[in-house]
Amino acid sequence: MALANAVPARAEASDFTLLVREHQAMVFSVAYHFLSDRAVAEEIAQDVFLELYQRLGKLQSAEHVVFWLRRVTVNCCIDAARRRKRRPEIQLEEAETPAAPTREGDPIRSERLRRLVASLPEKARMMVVLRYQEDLDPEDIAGVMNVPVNTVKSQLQRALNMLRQKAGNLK
Amino acid sequence: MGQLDMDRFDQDLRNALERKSPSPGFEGRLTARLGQQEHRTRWWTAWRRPPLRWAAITVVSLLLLVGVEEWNERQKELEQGQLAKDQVMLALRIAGSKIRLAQSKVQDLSQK
Repeated sequence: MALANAVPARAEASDFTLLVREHQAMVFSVAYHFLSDRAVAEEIAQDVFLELYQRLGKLQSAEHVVFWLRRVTVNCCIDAARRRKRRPEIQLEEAETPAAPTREGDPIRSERLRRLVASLPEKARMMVVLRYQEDLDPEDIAGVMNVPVNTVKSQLQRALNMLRQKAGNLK
Repeated sequence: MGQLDMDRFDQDLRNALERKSPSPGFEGRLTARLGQQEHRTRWWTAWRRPPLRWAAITVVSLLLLVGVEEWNERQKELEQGQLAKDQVMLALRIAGSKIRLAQSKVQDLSQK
């Protein structure tokens, strides 16, 4: 959905609903893959959209909305992780609803990879999620997370090396 | 790890981290929370409007004034009551001393 002009100060309900429908999977998934907790991820997603509703008049474009959603979601997730202050426990898999047609792949290997990602330090974990879920470049990740690009590149590299090493041991 | 393995690993990671949808009813729950938030905002906005705020302040001030007046009246009544009590006690003491004086005179006369 493209917003041709700045969104009006008091968002029409239908505009907001369209934005929710378009972006709910993105927001929820970032939170879910970061926190490995479906219930908390949904709560965070709701909080983010409630905040969006208040802020819509200040967002300039569709791209700005997406950027804003990612940034706020990232911040909320990192805050939630710090509040928990423990390793995220992977919930026993409930029936998951893919947002898009499921890609081919080994579901068991996918689950194990998710667990490995969940064991990463917070910032590195979020970088991996943004890189592989959202296909963001290091520059975009740096913008969303408000960290230097070189930090993203080095932390991402280290995290991926670790994941590859551990994943190589998964058979 | 060879290039092929790295590409495969990247794809595996993308598969593992593909987007998922929240549980059914997400939009409905969000709408419900939005409604509650709007309701709370309406109350808060009404309170922040000067006329309503000043009306509330005036009512509270009047109630305080009335309360203070009542308290002052009560204090006055208590003071008056205490004064009356003191006067009665004084009268009793005077009467008592006069009686004792009369008794002593009677005794003197009876001794003569």
